[in-house]
Amino acid sequence: MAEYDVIIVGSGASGGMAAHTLTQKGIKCLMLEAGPLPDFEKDIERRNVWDLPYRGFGKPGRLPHVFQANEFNANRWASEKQNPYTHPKDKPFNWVRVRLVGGKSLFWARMSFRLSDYEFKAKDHDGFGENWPINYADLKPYYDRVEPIFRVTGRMEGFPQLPDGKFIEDRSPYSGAATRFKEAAERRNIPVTKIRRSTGDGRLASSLNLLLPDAVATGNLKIVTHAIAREVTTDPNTGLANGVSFVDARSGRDMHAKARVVVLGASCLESTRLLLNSGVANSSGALGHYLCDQFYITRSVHAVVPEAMNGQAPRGLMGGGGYIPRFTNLKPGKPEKNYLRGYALDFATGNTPDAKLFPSYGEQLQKDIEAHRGAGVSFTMMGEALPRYENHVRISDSTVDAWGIPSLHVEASYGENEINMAKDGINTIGEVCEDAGFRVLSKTPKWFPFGYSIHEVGTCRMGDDPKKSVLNKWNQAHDVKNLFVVDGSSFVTAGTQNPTITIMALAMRASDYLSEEMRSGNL
Amino acid sequence: MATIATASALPAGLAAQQTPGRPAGAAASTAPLQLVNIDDAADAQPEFFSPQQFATLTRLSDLLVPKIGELPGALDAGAPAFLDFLIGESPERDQVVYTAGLDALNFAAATRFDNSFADVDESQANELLAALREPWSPEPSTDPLVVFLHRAKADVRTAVVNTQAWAVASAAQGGGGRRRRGAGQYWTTVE
Repeated sequence: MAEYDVIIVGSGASGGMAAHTLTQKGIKCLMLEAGPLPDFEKDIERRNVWDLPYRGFGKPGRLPHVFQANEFNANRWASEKQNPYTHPKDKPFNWVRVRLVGGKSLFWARMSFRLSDYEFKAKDHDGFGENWPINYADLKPYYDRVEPIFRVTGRMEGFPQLPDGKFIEDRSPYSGAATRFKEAAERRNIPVTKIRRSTGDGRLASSLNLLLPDAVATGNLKIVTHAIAREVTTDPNTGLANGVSFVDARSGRDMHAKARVVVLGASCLESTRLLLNSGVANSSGALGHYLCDQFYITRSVHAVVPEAMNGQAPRGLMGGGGYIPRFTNLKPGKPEKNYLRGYALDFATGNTPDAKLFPSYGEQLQKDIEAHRGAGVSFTMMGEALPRYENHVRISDSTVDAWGIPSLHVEASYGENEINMAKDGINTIGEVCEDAGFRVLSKTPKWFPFGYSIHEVGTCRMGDDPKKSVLNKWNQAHDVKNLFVVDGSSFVTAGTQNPTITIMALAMRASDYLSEEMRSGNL
Repeated sequence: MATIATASALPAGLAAQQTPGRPAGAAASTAPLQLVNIDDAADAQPEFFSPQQFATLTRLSDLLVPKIGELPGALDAGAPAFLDFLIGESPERDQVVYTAGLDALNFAAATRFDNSFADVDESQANELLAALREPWSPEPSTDPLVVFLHRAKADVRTAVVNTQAWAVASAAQGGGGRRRRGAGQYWTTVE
């Protein structure tokens, strides 16, 4: 059987970017994907909600941790039965997984924001945790290359905490309501910009359509589907990785593929699970630790624009939205707030508040809904959860998946810093709404469970010190030099920004380095 | 697309297609088979809630979503029987929200008005639903009755809004905007 230059585990944003970069340098890659190849023509059809067996509620208990699932899309998420994991009862964790070629990049919200040195050098700024082993200047050239592939739209603003990118300029005007909010926010030195979003081919901005086709076209990439990775195998004499063992999900057959280098891009927690199950790359003891994400509060504040009530909104008043980058604790020195770091929000105007917000039922509720239809402004808050050692994953003592591979136990919760941040966030945004002449309907500091944002990062973090980190600044394992981890598990901090564009920039940078090391004979 | 109704509904449809006495040699109809939505063809058989709980749920559903003009109400939509099925299929913690809540509501009616909730008059019923007229709070209540009432308010509404009858009536009123209400992209089983 052929020996490959590189085995890549995972076909999503990170694995796809590794394949895209490596194959163009002439490196022969084998990609292992746990799921099948989706077919958007065959796998999707239009249906009416009343023709679904559960009337749109979905089959009860089928995907208890996937709040994004509904009866229309339930089949696209990884089965929780086949892929179980555990968590303490009082520490719920939502692990949302997609097992398809393209991974979660098939369904992401496509928000594409760069990190800044407020993240990369966070410890220098406020003393908490660790710095990343890279700075913004190290990653900037790769953001510059990733954004044109994904066709990111946005506005150039010059915000130091949210660096501009290679955008397709977003010239769309703000609606009247969005303008009122923006002006009220700016009077308090709170910046507002347009959402920065990957548009891809207009329909899809995924590894499936933007990365993998080019990689396959080089002739240097083979993709195996239904391949459930079990372990990274190592040479007992050298300790170096020599391949990956996996299970064919369809037959249950045990398989093994050999390569000079192994690259993991299986998603944050799957890559870490694979390393833990392989018993490699953990001389630091940091593997599995420092799990973080952004706590998400969708509709953290819901307000109403009075002039838009009862269907009276003049043309151009409602519609569209915007993005508020982190604005707290940016000055050096003692934090100005009773918490470290900060939060970002995105907002939308022109929606209808949820029925639960009205103190009514029956005919009055229907009147309330009609009166508020299209008059709502809602804010989703995305707060940085601090990376803490105790927020961790480990191999479960007793639970295995459908292929007998030990599952993860996840133990993570938010703390005082996140609680204080959430309270400050809803109060601040509520005040800005009032300044803008909106009526605040609800403010909630209650987040969804850890993991809900699907922005879990950390657990296999980078660092210069091999005693405190798993990977070096090239996403290369300190302990196993021909093993790379290029997904979100490598993050040192979560920041407030959606992570995917940074994951892809890191994967491209690591792959550039890897190909150079292979060319020069170091690997 | 229509749903294939289960056996209880099919014979009538098939019988109509197979009219006896067709003259020999006459061409069979080539019209596509029109299938019927299961809820339009047959009644669901409630089996989870006790008769008293079901009577309480039926009365409550009617109060939460009454028929308003052309918009169907919870009883038109068969919401109580549908929820009997849905909750019967649900994890135990969801079942307890309903059973404890329905029992508490009935108990409150008996204590306050010496009657079952199904049989109290309208002003008495509304008095028992006072919690739903309180301003919304992000703090979840610790009272099982209040937790249940908020849950039922959401569930009954969804069970009504997601029917074809609601979609048709709502579209006739210009509700739901340009997007056709109730249709979506369904992911079939991925291998």
